[in-house]
Amino acid sequence: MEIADLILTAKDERNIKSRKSDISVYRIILFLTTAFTLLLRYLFVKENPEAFDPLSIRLVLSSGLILILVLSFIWKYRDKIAYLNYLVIFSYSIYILFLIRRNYFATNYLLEFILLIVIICLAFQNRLHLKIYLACIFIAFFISAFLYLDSYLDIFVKTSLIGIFCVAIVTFFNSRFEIEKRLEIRENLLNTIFNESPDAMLIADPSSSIILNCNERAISIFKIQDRRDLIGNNLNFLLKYPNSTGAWNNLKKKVDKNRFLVQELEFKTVFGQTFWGSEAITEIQVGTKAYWLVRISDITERVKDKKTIEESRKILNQIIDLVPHPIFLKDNEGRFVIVNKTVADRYEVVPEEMVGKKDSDFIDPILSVELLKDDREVIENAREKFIPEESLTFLDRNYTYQTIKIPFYFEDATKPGVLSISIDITDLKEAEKAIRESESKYKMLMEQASDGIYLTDKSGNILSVNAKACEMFGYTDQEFQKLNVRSLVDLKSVKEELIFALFNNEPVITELVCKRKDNSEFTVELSATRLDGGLLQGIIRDITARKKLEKILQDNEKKFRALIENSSDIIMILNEDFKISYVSVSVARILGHTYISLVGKTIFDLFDHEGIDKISKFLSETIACPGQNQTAEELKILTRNGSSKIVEIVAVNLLSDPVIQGIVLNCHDITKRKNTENELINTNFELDSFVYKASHDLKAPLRSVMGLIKLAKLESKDSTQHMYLDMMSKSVNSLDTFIKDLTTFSRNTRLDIEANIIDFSIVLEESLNNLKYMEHAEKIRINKSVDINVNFYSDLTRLSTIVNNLISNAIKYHRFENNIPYINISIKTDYEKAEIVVEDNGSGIDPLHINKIFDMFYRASENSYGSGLGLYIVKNAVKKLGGSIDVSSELDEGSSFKVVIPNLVNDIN
Amino acid sequence: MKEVQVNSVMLVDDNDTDNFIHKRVIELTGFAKNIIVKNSGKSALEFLESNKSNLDVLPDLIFLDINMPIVDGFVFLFEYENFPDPVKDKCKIVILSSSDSKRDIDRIVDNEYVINFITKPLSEEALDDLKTIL
Repeated sequence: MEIADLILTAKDERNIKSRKSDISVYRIILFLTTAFTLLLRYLFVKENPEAFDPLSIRLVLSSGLILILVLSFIWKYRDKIAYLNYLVIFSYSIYILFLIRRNYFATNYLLEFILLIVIICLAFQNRLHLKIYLACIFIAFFISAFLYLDSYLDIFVKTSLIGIFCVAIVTFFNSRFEIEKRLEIRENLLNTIFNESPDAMLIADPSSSIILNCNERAISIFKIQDRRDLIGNNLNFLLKYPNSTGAWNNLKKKVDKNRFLVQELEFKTVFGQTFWGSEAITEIQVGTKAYWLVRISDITERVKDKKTIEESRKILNQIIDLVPHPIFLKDNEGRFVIVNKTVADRYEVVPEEMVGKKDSDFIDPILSVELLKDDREVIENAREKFIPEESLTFLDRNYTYQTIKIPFYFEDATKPGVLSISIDITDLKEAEKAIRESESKYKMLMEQASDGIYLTDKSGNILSVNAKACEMFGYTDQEFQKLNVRSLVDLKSVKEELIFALFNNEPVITELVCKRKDNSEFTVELSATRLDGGLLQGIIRDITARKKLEKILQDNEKKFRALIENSSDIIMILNEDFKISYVSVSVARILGHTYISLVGKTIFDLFDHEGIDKISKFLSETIACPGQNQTAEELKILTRNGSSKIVEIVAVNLLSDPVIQGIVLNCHDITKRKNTENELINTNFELDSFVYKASHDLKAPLRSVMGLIKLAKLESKDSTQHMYLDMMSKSVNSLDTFIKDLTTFSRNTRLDIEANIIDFSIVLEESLNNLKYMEHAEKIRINKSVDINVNFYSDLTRLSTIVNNLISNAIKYHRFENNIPYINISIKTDYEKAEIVVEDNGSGIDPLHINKIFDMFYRASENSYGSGLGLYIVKNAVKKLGGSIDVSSELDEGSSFKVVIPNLVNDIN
Repeated sequence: MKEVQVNSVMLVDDNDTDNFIHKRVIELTGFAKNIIVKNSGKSALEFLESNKSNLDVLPDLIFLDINMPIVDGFVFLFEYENFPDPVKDKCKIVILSSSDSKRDIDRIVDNEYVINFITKPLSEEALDDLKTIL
């Protein structure tokens, strides 16, 4: 047997186990076969009784064999019984030989033979045994053949038995020897392994954990002088953190279960130094006793290395995560190995998610083909690649990168991976573009600017100018180059602020006067800025025109202000909350309030309870009609001392006007006018009463006189007296008519129009009724034509006056000599007007007088016995009603008066 | 046209001249048999008050002037409203005024006991018209 086998045997416990179990199977078969054979023999050999009872011997042997086999199943004695096995086989062989010698060997030979074969097969478990056996058989065969010369079968059987016998002996000794030898080798080997092992080896008692033995390495590892210093100590003695009892028990359980345990612990030397060690505990069974083989290897370096690697990997990851540029490492399959945060952000994942995956796991595989073109190129060519500018799109976002990709060789890989480092130059590119654009814009601006731009050095010498500046000053570009700014400026106009700002290097905007090439002057606005390097940039704008405009504007404003402030009206601007945002100073004069006291207050503070209702209604109307003037008449506005003034307010909503942004109110003080009006009304009323009273008092005695005349006429028969009385009556009537006219006139002037529905038939009828007692009235034929289609509204009293007067005139001034007198009266109405025509064939009016007939107290006829007020009253009444009157007349032919009066139907509504 | 005979009339006017004229005209035309003359609204009301149960003494017609001191025509008519119905049924009122003011006429005619409005002076024609109304 080889040493390697031994080591293998020693090493592989499980191997040994399996062999043992094989042997057990053999034994069972052996047992069964033996038992079967013995049974058969017992049945068949019985009929051969002998003095020497072989049966009993056989029984003894058989029983012994069975006993051994039974015992062999008991675990503890298995190994020792193995030797008994051989003894049994040997004894049995002797017995059979004995049988043969005694010629008891008969029909049962066959059975015996079978038994032997089986035994042989089982006993000889290795080839060496078989070889020895066969050799013995041969030798025995030949010896038997020559010595006994029995039958061949006999010889065969005998030799076989002898062979078995020899094999048994050889085997016995051989195996003994071999075991010893094997043990020796094993021990040496184990000792060597034990002592020379690079690891510390300890043997300990599992129950007490006392160290029983240790090797050289253990001495050196634990820095002790002699192994006796270690032996006898507890295993805990070696640990930096000794195990508690509970921990020990756990450990023991684990070892018992698996018979093997590896753990990494911190150990300490006798000097207290600590180190990391890997502890492997193996339970070994030596006979009935179990031991722990504890192997400790110093792994401090390994642990340290591992930690260092882990740490540096962590640092590396953190560093590359911090880099704001995409960095990644892919293997040759395109799988990410290292990815930094920037790369992961592009896919909106964390770096850990990406490791081991491909780009195609995150985006459309078709897109990724294009994306990975460069990576593949680097992998295929194994050459680095620099991409100065590439535009990539990840998840709809564009990036511009400058990228370097280098091949990266992984261990045990034929093709390199790719390490890619990109710099995000999106911003840079955009900035570059912006700079380029702004440069060109600047140039364009400079040239096309409507302002003059120049650049000077520190001492004011002009370096460059733009086209506009040339145009402004009248110098050419070349001429400018030789000039100093001082020669372009009227130094007297330079303000202190400019000098101060230039001195302090601050930008400034100032106004000054410049001189052109032809020495004419113009006002400019200069914006001067000190640039880097002491250069001075100036932007000049010709503001001559603006100055003029400003002046005009200022003058205009002054004018308007004067107009507003000296106006007798109050002008106010209200914001949308009706708060006063502006009020003209005239408010102080008119209301006594000051500007300060009013601004910020609401307009409602200027009105009493009743006035607030009116003004708020008015203002809401104003707001409803933006831009339109609204008028509110007669509002009482409170003065400072609590009295009130009557104002007329004109308001316009200019809230949407960008300049005014308010409601403009113009309050016109009409207090005086109103007072005068009231006085006038009172006066009129008084006058009317006076006229009424006076006319009555004048009329009353007159009527008495008329009554007396009538009475006198009734009671007297004297014709002369009658004549006097008639003349008296005529005079009195004349005076009565005059008084009546005066009253009517007074009424018409002063009383307001009172519109009512008019029935012209009644008006005409009443009028004719009144006039029927006039002189000669009965001689005149009256033709009436009344054509009324619509409701007509007018002032009844005045209309009656007009109709009365016209008809009475027509009667009064008629002729009765050569014609048939008539009066045609025609009245027509429609929706807009009424037309009244009174026509006669009377005496007519002399053209000399026709223009004056409507004058007061004018009497056109010598025959006239009227007051001269009649037509004057008619004209005034017509005028009051808003109508017109026309007359056409021919002397001695007749007259026609045409009156048109408007329908006042709208006044009613 | 039927001829109506008025039994008695009362003239109420502060102006004695007018009262005289009107009395004479009525006498001369034979318009009424009895003529009672009162020269103030007050005395006229007193007369009516004292005779309100004696219907025979009361006039059939009262000619009333408007413009009088203290109790004028309007006040008279206001007080007249308070007389019992038999009195008011018997005595019809005719306004006899020098005013021809529309305002006055409108005010008066609204009263249900006023049957006519005559402008002074009282004439035969006016009395004839009056007869047709009665």
